[in-house]
Parts: sequence; structure tokens; C-alpha cells
Amino acid sequence: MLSDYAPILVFLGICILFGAGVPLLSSVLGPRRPSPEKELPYESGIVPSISARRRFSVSFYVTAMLFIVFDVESIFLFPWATIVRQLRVFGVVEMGVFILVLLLGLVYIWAKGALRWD
Amino acid sequence: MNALAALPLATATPGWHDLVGLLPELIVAGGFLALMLLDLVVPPARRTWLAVFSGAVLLGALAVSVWGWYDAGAAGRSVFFGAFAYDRLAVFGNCVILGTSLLTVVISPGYLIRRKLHHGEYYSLLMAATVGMMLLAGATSLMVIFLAIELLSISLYILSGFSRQEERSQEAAVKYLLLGSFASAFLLFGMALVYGETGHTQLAQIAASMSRSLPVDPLLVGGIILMFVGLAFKVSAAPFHAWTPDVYQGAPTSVTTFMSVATKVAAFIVIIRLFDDAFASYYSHWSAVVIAVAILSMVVGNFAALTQTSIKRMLAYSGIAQAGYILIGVAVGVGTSLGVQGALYYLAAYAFTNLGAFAVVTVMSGRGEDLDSYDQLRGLWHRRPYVAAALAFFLLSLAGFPPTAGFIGKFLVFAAAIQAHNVALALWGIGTSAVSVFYYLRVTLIMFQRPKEDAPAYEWPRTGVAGSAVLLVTAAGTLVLGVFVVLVLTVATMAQTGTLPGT
Repeated sequence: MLSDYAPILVFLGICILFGAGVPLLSSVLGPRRPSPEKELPYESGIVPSISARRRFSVSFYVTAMLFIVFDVESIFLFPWATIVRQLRVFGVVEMGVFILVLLLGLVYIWAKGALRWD
Repeated sequence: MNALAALPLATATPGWHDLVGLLPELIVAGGFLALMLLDLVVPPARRTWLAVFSGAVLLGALAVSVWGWYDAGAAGRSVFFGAFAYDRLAVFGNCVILGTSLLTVVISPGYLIRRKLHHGEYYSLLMAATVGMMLLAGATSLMVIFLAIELLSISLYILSGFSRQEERSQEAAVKYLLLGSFASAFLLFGMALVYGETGHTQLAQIAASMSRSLPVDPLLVGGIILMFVGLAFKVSAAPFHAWTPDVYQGAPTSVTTFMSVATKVAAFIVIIRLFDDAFASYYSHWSAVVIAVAILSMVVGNFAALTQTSIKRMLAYSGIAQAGYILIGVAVGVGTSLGVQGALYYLAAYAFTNLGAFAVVTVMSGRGEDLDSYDQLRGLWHRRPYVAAALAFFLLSLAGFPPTAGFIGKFLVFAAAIQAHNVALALWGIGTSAVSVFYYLRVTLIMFQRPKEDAPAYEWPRTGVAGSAVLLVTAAGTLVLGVFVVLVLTVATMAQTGTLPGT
């Protein structure tokens, strides 16, 4: 029983070696020619104008969280779509209930003003 | 590849009889969604109607659950392909949880209005937590157990931080969230090991696989113990209790009332289902851990409660100790008939008694800050004799004096320990309850003292019809469970027969 887990242990070892080894190798072998431009935080090529340590509007977090929630829920549609024919009416009803609950959540956050930006 | 190909594709679909088994849960879940939307249209001044609506939904679900007691029958049956048990243990749990939830809803509007916390989300979150607890009471699959625990926990995390202007409430929410996530991780890791070793997520199949597996599998034992750690956190047994006093004190009192009772009932029912049935063949490997946790909870809970000067913290430590007593029943539940009966009886007794004790604190909490320190109770007997008498009665029941529910509960679990030839365990229980008398009586005596002239007494609000009704019901329940023992014991016996219905 315990020996069944030996491959996992080996896999874990390889993961740790690879994860630690690659950055180590690149720091040993890679050339380093620092310049002030290269030391700047990466902002898609734009020069940063203010410090990154400032407070953001809470709307960013709310929007991000809501996006994640609905995004993750929509993933459930994909496996469902592959077997919806076998599930027949039950599958459609089941997914209908699921989507309905999601929709009620959307109505709730909309009415609460979580999607408004000011 | 072969293993994957051999998996049967789920072409069978659940039918009406599956839905009937989940009817109370579906009603409360529907109520949860409806409340979320109703909150959007009900004007703030009329929010008491939301409480009325949730009360009606809970009452309906309670009626269906009582009907389910007869419909499920003595054997019970498995619904949704073995994921969920529709049996008397689940129905028993549902009834206690729904009753707790209902009584909480009754005392909530008055308290929340006084504390300026009357938001509609309170009721929808309460309903969501109730659904989670009910699902937990009936869960017979590792996946359902985990989902139900998350549903109830996440709702309770938010509820314990519901007084969001208050620092202590925020602290309670963050502490509960962080430590609760840890406990979930333990539980999930345990589940992963159990699944890995048995290859099943459904308890009936896990039990069958365990009774076959010889020699003893160390990873399986590890998984069982890890699952116990996760669940022991939820019932706040020592040494997984550190969050309890802070969360119980910081959360709004009506929330504490609810979660101190209902969470424990739901988690204990799943503990009984897991340990006294599914994992029964590994009894000799987990019993020592459960007994150690039981003894530690009784000692830590009772001795820490001695030094408290806050009634909410005292009741939190007392709840830890009570979890220890119930764990005695669980620990000896495999070999004896009394163990599970005693644990179930104790749960019902604890539900009424602890609900009553916290309800007194809720009902007596005025504007401004919660009723909390012992000093604020001084002289309650002279101003509010009935409320003080009720609290004294609940505290006596928690201490285990006859003729209250607490006495019979303690008697049954100690008798179960003796029946299992574990006299030492019973003696630990008796010894620590003797200690507990001190702090329960201390609060009682403070209520009977005359208030000091110079110290401004706490402004106790009027009890109101709702508050009086809840105190009356809980006091009556505590008395009935203490006097009509045979009646309730029959129910508990019927509830324990067959905790894993066959498919």
C-alpha cells in the first residue's frame, strides 16, 4: 500500500530539484549587466510614475472577486456540455437550476451596486 | 487508462424519491435565495418581515423533517446514489438544527435593531449556514461532507464579522476564517488519504473496504486521525479550541447563540456517522485519540472557564467542556449501545440549554455594547426575576444538576463509559463536572446580589414577546429532557439504528 506512493515521492523530488535548479542555473550561468532602466518594475514598458505601495479602490478587489466567481462557475459548463446528451432532460434541468442560482447572484450584486464604479 | 475506461458513465439520473429525501434542505435553500432577493425590495424599516419570512420557511422545513421521521422509516434509505442518507439520524439532526435556527431567528430582530445591525443579509446567511448544517447531518460521502462544512463555515465567517464597525467582531471573523481554513485543510488531507487507501468516497463503500483491509494500513489511520482533527475544530474540542472564546465573544451574540449550538450538532452527527459506523472496524486505532481529546477538552474547558469574567467567554469555555462530554459518548460508541444514544441525548440537551443561556445574553443585550462582563449581570434577579431564573436554570443544567436535561445527558455518557469498562474516563468526566459547578454557580450568585449603589447598572432592555417565548421554549425543553427521559431516549435510540443505510 505505502509503496504505491513511491512514484509520487519520486515526482516530488524531481519537482523540487527542477524548481530549485533552474533559477540556480540561470543565476550561475546567465550574464548580468544591470542598468537603471532594467532595475525598474516592469509596467509593460511604461515608466512607473508613483510608488506601487499605495491604497487601491476597493472596487478593484470586488470586481476581481466577482469575475473569479463567475469565471470558475462557467468552467462547469464544459464537462457538462460533453455528456449533456446522455443526461437528457435531467442534465438540462440540473444546469438550468445552476444557472438560475448564478443569475440570482448576479441580480443581487447588481442591485447592491457592486458593479458600479465611483 | 483501463481504470478510466472502466468507470461507468452516470447515465442513471436521480428521481423524485431522491428529491423527497432532501426536501427540508431544498426548502431552506429556496428560502435562502428568496431572502437574498427580498432584501433588495423590502424597505429597511420593514426588515422584521424578513425574519417572519425566514421563520415561516424554517417552520415549514421543520414540519417536513418531522414527517420525514416516519417517511424515512427505521431503516432509512440512501439517496442520490449513496451521497446522502435519508434516515432518522439525519432527520434528528435536521430537527435540532432547524429548531435552533428558528429560535435564533425569533430573537434576532429585536437584538439586531438595538445593536443597529439589522441588515437583510443576516437572515440569508443564517439560512445558508442552516442548509450547510442540514446537509452535513445527512452526508454519507466525503465530497458532500466537505461541501457542507464549507457552506456552513463560510456563512459563519461572515456572520461572526457582521458587526463590522466593531474591532472585536472583525477580529473574530479573521481568526475564525484563518483557523477554519487550516482545519478544512486537515480535513481535506485526511479525506485524500482515506480516499487514496480505500478508493471510495462513499462511507458505506469505505466501511466495506476497511473491514477487508488487513494488515492495518498506517496511511488510513493517519487519514482518519486527520479527519478527526478537522472535525474536532468545528466542535471546538481541545486542543483545537483556541479560536472559540475569541470568536464567541467577538461575534454578535445572536450569531454566537446560533453557531455555538447548531454547528456542534451538525459536526457531531457527522462524527458519529464517520467514527461509530464507517470507521468502526478501525476502532482500536482511533479510540485512544478520541478519548485523549475528550479528556483534554473537559479539563481545559472547565479549568479555563473558572478564571473568566465575561459571560460569553465563560460559555465558550463551557462549550469546549461540553464537547468533551459528548466525545465520551462518541469514543465508546462502537462497543456499547449507550454511547451513541448518550451522545445524541446530550446533543439535544445541550442544544436547548446552551441556546437558552445565550438567548438570555442576547435578549438582555441593550443598545451600545453587548452584555458581556459578570458585573453587568449583578442584580438581574431584582429587576428581571424571570430572566434571571431562566439563566440560573440553564446554568444548573450545564453543570448537570437534576432534574435538568444536562444531568441526564451526563448520566448517559458516563454510564456508556462504564458500560465500555472505561471507568477512568467516567471519573474524568465526573471530576471535571464537579469543578464546573463552581463557575456556573458564581454567575448565578452574581445575579442574586444587590447592585452596588455607585456603579451604574447595565441598562437591560425589555424582554419582549419574542424573547420571552424563546426563553420559555428553551426552559421547557431543558425541563422535558430532564424529566421525560424515556420518551426522548426512545427517540435517540430510534435515531441511532442504522446510521449508514444501504443503497
